Amino acid sequence: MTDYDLRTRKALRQVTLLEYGCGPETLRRRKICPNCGKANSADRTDCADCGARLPEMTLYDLYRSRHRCCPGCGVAVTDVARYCPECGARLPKGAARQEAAV
Amino acid sequence: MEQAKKTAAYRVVADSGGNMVFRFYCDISGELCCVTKPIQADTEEAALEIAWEQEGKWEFNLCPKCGKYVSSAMFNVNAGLCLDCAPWEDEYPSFCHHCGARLRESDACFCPACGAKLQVGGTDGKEEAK
Amino acid sequence: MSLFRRREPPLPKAAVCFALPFSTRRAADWLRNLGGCRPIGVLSDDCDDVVWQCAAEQADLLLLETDFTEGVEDKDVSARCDIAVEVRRKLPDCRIYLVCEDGHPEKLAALEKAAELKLIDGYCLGSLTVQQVLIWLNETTKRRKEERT
Repeated sequence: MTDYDLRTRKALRQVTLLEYGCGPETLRRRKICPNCGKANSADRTDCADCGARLPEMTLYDLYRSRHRCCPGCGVAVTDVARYCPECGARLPKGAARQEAAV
Repeated sequence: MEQAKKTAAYRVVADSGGNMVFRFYCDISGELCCVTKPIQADTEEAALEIAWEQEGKWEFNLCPKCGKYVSSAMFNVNAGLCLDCAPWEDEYPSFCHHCGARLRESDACFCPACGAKLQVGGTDGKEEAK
Repeated sequence: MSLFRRREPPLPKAAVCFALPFSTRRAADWLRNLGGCRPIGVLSDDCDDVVWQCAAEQADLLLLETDFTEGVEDKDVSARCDIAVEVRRKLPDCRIYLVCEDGHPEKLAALEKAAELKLIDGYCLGSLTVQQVLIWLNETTKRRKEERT
């Protein structure tokens, strides 16, 4: 496999995740209509399908609400993490996850 | 693992011809992932099975840990689990989640300071945050 | 009156690699008729073949077509970006553009990201138009001028 530099590898990976509809970037770009369930672009205020008002919350916000997040940079972290892998901040002890109502 | 659900969350709409159209939703986000074509069957259960097997299940990812059927967006492809069971981890972390050491090579598999696995929990998942 | 005539720089070499060989030939012929470039038909869209031919011909510009047909592998945005990266390793100044069929909104995010991260220089949705090609050729010519100065 070609030995790409790190920047290129990161860039290619971001494109692949977006193309296949997964990863944090996909979540940031998506909102779900509470009426019909259709996925909409995060910059929309009304559902492209049924016209219902879309929530402010993106899928990424929903995802974060269901996990422990770093108090420093806000990224969702695993239950076993002691330090944030993004900013290095020491994480408080894991609180019980609150499952947001769907 | 809880008893596996048979299908994702769904709603059924009967059309004027008595056929049933199923709408399947992600178990986490509620995203509409599949709208089936009209299915004809004697009972809703039978129609559901046909709808799920022929169309619905192909649009979902089954989490092997919790049994939820989730959309691609809510599935962690790296961990092979849903995002509830395995939150997304940066594939190129800057710090070790276990000891906090700054990582010079962010594409390393293990932390050079403490040896912890950098991805998918970092340990075997048994250790809790202290 | 000067005895020396200023030589015009040669036209940019535009490599085209579409999803199928016949569409590559058609695109190359179309570009030739349009003028403004020297088209090179790259009949194989295998990564190594594309890289080799672009490097051998010293292409200034590469047009790569995607194919989002279900069941077709290795012709999506990610795969074409892989080719783009490999071509750029040999030809760092080659401009690379993707030509994508319309009607795939889910691919748009990936295309935007690829352009933002400079894996590609641009893309177009739908059929390739004269206007679009002229814009890209213009960008390529500008780039070549910057290299020379």
